[in-house]
Amino acid sequence: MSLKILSWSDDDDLCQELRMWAEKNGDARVVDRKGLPDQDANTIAAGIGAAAGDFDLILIGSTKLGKDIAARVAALADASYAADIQSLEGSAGALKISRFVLSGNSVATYEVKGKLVATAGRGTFFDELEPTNVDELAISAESSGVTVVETVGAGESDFDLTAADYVVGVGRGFKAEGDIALAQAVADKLKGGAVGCSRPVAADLKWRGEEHWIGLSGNEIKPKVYFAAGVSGQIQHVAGIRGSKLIVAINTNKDAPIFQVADYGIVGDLYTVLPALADLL
Amino acid sequence: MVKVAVLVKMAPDVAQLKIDPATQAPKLDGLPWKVSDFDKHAVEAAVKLREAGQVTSVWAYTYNAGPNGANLIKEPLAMGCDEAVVISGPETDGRGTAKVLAAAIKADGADLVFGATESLDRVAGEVVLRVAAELGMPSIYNTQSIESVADGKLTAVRDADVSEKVQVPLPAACAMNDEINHPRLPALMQILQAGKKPIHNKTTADLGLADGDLERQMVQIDNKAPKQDRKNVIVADAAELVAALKKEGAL
Repeated sequence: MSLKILSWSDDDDLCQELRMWAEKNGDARVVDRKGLPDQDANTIAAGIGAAAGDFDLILIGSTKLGKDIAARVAALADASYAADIQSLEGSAGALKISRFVLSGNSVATYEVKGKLVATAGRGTFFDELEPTNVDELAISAESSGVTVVETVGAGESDFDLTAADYVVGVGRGFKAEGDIALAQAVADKLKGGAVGCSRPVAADLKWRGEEHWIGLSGNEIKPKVYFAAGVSGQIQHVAGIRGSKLIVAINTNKDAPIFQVADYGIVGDLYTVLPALADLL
Repeated sequence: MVKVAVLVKMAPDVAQLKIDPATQAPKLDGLPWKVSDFDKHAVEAAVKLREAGQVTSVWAYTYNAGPNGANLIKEPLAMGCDEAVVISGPETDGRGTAKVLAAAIKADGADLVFGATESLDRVAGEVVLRVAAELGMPSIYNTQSIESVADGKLTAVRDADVSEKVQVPLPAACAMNDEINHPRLPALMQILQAGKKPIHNKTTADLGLADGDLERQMVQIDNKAPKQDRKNVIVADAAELVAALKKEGAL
């Protein structure tokens, strides 16, 4: 029996990737994003939840809005929920998924009885996108009663760290925000280079926005080379860089955990190593 | 009268986790348990609102709190929760846990359900939203600040891709992110007083839940640290690094 799959994402590329997987692996429908009274997560979840009865698997793009929706859909559909899956296989009523658990320390595989709602990030199934031919499914719901009074701060930027071929990661070894220019100088020398950062740099110091944050709760990156500069290598960070083809660590502390997950390491000061590296590239 | 139910999870302290080098399996046996750090932000948010006079009482709810649960529940009480409900029952998954917590909260009544966007161990961000859906409450996810609870409404800022100030009529649920506040460290006096606060021990049977309804739908069949097939070569300087990367064809 073919797997009945419904997908939804507010991110166009991710939506396309989920459609591709669904089309190849079962009987696919994609949620028609129009036709709801508002785009609040509760409202969208109610609409998808009401339609869930006809599907074995509901795949949702792992954006902030997607995660907000997905767990509610799972409850409304009395389904299991798997966030940020790494792999997905199986048939209706016997799906198998894997995902990071224990704060990124390990990858657990689960067998799922019954219906599943899963979220997946860009690049989980395919790097290259291809056209699909998947029919839309109209959904309907009443407004949730959550009203947006105002939006605060800037919108999402177009910056996409996960698409970079080379990433220079900024960690707590940087003494001041302005010093990130040293990392940027290296990234600028590399085609498809970009600067990312560890959690404290984004969340605590707020030197860079979340779109630069590398880690389990931030971006999972897959560059050709990841240069970790002044990054200690906390497990949450490491979980976000495992897809890198090569990992380079630059750190003054020879015992920093980042060296254990690196292909090449320099025990040295990023303040001298990064300028030297930029000169050589 | 506005009552807040705060969801508090006890979990193994993954910061102390070791991986068995022979099997790549995480060694969970003997790991100390703690209050999931993220949940302390939810406790703090609720206690702050009670101190501001915007809510009247704050109860902590926990399910299967682990080997040291009776002690650990004193931490949210010391932080300022008024009472705690400690529920025990069969091992289950996020789906079952949400059903248990929702049943317990429904039995006691609550106008607000607070929790965290993530847990220490599963990092799924599942339970608050599921509890809200089970109770028919709208939920605010990734809450970065709470402006007020007043006139039967919650006003909060959630971190969508833009930050949005949203308003929702009670009852409602709120999942806090860890930027919302700095959870307090209770003083000795509060820790001593916490031992005298009411703790209600319940079982899933008390809540009218059959074990069959809570049976795991997600069964873990494998759990291993990802293999680290890295070269671990230390090079002397940037020149050696560039030479090595060129040899790899990576530049």
